[in-house]
Amino acid sequence: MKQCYFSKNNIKHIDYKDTDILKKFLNPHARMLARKKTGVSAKSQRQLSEAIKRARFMGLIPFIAR
Amino acid sequence: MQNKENTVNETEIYEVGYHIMPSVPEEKLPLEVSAIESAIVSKNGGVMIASEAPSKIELAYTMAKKVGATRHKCDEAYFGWFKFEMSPANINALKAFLDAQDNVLRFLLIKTVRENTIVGDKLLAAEKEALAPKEEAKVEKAVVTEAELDKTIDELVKA
Repeated sequence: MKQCYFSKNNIKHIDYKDTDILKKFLNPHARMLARKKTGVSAKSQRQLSEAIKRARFMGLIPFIAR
Repeated sequence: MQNKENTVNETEIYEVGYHIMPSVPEEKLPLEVSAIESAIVSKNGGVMIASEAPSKIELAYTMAKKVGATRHKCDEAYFGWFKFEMSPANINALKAFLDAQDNVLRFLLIKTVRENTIVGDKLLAAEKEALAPKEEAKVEKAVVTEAELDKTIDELVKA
């Protein structure tokens, strides 16, 4: 099993401004990747989805991309 | 229990991220920033924790801001943020202030934690470093094997 990226790097709070990290968890269409694929823990995935949605709202990452 | 929590948690940590309209000239940016800062600190009794001055960024998609009857479309904006501590009683007043600003394209007001939460640059740099030495090691190995090959070839030729 792959270890959760956020617990491995001791990230307690995922910031929406950290777009370089958020982009690791998006596919080329800018959709969020499933936990099954990334191995992120359930707790971190909830934080991650919140952060991604915030970053989208602020125009830091796209809603959709081709 | 609840009373205790209320007395301990009189203030909350908030963060406001904002986009300033690209139509604002760069030399007038500090005015906009100080207007927001004074709304946080002097008008609503907030205590500043951290901040980043706005810098021009390309937006991921076109945003529009309605001022009066006109819709201003923006592909870029000045993005900055403030992290501060404030009583929850005053946060609505701050939101109303930001809503009323014509030069603020968009803002995001969130609850957060006091600690620094931005780790991206450090982490990604560390990841790159972790990858780099491996490549060097590979190159060294290759050199050794080539030298060995030459030796063996020389030996073969002599024989």
